[in-house]
Amino acid sequence: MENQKSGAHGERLARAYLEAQGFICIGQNIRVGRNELDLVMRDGDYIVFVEVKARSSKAFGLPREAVDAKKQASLIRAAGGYLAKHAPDANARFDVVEVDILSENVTYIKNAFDAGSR
Amino acid sequence: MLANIQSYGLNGIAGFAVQVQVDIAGGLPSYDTVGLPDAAVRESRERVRAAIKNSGYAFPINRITINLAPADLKKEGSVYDLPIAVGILEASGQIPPGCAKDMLLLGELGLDGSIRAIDGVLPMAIEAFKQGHKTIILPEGNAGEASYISGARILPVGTLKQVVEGLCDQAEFVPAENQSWSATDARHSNDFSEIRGQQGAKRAAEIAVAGGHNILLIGTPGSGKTMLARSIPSILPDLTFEEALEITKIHSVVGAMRGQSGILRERPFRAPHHGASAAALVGGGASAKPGEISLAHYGVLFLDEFPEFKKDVLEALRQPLEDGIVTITRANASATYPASFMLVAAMNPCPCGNHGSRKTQCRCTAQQINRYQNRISGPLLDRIDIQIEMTEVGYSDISSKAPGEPSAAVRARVNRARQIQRERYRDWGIYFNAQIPNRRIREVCCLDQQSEALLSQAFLALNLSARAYNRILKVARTIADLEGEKTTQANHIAEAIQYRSLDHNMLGGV
Repeated sequence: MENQKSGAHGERLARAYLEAQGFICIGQNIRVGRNELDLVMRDGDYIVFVEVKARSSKAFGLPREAVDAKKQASLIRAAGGYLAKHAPDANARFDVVEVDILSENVTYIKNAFDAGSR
Repeated sequence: MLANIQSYGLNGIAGFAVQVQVDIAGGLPSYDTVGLPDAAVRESRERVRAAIKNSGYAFPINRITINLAPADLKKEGSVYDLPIAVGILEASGQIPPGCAKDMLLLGELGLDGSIRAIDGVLPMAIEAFKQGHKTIILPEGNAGEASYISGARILPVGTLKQVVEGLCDQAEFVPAENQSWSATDARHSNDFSEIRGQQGAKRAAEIAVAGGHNILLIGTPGSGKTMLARSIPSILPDLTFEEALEITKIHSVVGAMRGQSGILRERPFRAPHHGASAAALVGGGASAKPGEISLAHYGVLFLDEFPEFKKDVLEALRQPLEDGIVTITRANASATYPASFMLVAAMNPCPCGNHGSRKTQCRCTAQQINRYQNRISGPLLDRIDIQIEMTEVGYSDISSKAPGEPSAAVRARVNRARQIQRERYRDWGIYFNAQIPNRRIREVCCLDQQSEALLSQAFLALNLSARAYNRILKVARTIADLEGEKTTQANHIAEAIQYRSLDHNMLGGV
């Protein structure tokens, strides 16, 4: 329960931070199948899928480290599904925002990863 | 947006045009390379990304698809880094569309945007130029090789930024100056004048070099076989431009031209150790790379301790010795390389080495000697035009103060003989006597009655093969060329026959 609350708080902070940068929120906590997209925002031409990671302690490493290959794969699947439904030809990218709950510090990582390569 | 950039690929020393097509589209950001890329081409993604960023341009956050057409030929190496980077910049609108359409781009990128030298530039540039690519952008480190192609506009570049600014007309490319060819007078560590005695062997070596014939030196330890072989480079004829280009192409493919400026100016002298494998000698490996025999093209392949080479390695030499080319076929690659080399082989007559010596008694049994000499098979021996025995040098020769004939004088004669041959074969597509195709021998070696009689006698007495007969004619032709004679005469034939006398009654008969 405690973690879920801090997660929601982190997402609020992240959204406020990005909206201050000129992003427009077009969706929050969107479920696509089994996967979830924390924030879907519009930044100019781009649809941005934002993964928010909130932590109250560094005991488990940096928040961004939690966006590992498995998490990326599930985000890519979700984003693919979202785009197919809403905007098949749009430019898209993945950003990561990490939030330190205690200090309310926000670190923003643009284009954190891509949908893989061959 | 789509961009098309011209590049080039290699299969052996033959090239093929490659179109680097870059498509940038919406969707999730990704980067795909298709068109049978190998690992090095696939890895270009990381180099290209970093090089674009570190040169001050933006790497597009889009779906990037790169196709290397034709899609069914394997693409190898890092040569496509530069065309891919330029393609991405063009497709993302950072350079004007079509500004590189008349150019061929080759080069590997460093993470900092620097452009690094690649292998095989000369064969690629020559082939591309033949196919009508007049302007070629390539790494500074390769400019030396390519600048010998007269008529081509070679633009050497050091960084990606330089390429982009040149294509955007913000800066001028500085074309490499076309270099003209001149054979150099290389310094050789061994000189003919240092070899005491051994007049017969020196004469044989001179004939062999003058006509590009194969030569086998058989002799007791310390008789100077290796020394003679090692001084052969000092009498090799000057390299012509056409020959130099052909040799450099092969050396360029194996990366031997890295860090060298320009093209090879000396005939190669390759002396592999007798532990060499068949693949090392004739060529091979997964991508069918050229071996020592192709690297010795138009030069000398020296095999010291000839019988110590593995049997299969020696027998593998037979076909290229005859044809002057070798086709290497592997599961994934097949390539044909020229291998018109002059074989210089040296061996002892028996395991202890003293068989036939005037001074030391041989300790080997007849059976041992037989087994040793049988390691060189009949068919292989048949392909060696000149076989010469060397025995110990006498004291008077060693202590003699009179210097022998210097290499320069011998080389002058060799050059003259080669000049005659080049003129005679101008329309034949060959350069020297050893290359004469068998069916055309009679055109250049007309025998008078006396020579005919001599040859028929030798043919019977020495049990010669048809191949040996042809090879005697070629050697006789070379001897005549050395003397400046238009026709081959009886004395030329006689000398040529004499060099085959070891053929069947074998060695050590001194």
